[in-house]
Amino acid sequence: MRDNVKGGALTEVTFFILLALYTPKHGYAIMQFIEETTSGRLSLGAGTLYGAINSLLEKEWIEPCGDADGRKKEYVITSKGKEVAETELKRLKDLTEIASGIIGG
Amino acid sequence: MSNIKKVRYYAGFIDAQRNWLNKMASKGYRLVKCGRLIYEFETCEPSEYIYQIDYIGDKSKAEGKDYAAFLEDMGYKVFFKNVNLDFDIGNLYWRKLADKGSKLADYQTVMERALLIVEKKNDGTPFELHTTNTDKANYYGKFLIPYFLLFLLFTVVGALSLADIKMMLMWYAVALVFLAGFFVYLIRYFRDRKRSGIEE
Repeated sequence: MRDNVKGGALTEVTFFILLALYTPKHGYAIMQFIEETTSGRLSLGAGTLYGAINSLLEKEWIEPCGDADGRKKEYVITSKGKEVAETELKRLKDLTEIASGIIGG
Repeated sequence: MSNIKKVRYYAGFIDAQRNWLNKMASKGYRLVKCGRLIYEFETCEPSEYIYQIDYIGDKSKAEGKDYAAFLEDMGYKVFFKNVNLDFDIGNLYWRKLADKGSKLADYQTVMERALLIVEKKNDGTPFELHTTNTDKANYYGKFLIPYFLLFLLFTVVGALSLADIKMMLMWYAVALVFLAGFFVYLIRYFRDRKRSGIEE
């Protein structure tokens, strides 16, 4: 998982996990969210997802949430994470605008 | 129907162990317990389950448990398995060396670290734990040092068995197997690292 923080470009996996966590989800729900929104194009292995979640927790872009009683750990995006996601959205919008100007459509 | 038990020894050869478990599953045997060498199965529908094995030798005990809990939350069943390399092979040799205060004592920790056998209900889709090229490269990279150390270990053990040519050749053969394993993972590591560079 290499996210270029300065340039703002996120990996697809990182961006999708951040998007998934605008509402709290546990690991399995994140995986389902990504599979469903990409119609199965992007299917994450559990080991890869685990590594990605831990790296995002470390960066404090996401955090654990909910009471500890629930057996399944849930995660949610932080305000720092939202900032990162918004920056990425703007970057992608700019990019598609430039691309549309050149390619058309 | 009663459970069946099988004795298998796969050392560090994870792919072979996984393939065997999947073959057992395709015949209708589901893993219920695994010890050092004994695997216990119960009957199930043929191909009802599918297996993957993950190497967690780089994780601490707490991290390994956390990962296992995460996988269980995903709906998988998880078994801890020793890599088990100290068993029978060179047990005597390196214990003796360790007693002499040799650095080889460190190998015990390398070898005793766990594998995770992960069982998923077969839904017809492929079962992979590591999917992005970056993560796959990281995963294969984890094997390089242990495999190289094992190659060195058995080379040393071989050299120490100089008095018995047959034993010496046997240890060297084992060393070569680990060297081959080292190169297999090295190739996979560089392949996926290159692919991840293209992707990003």
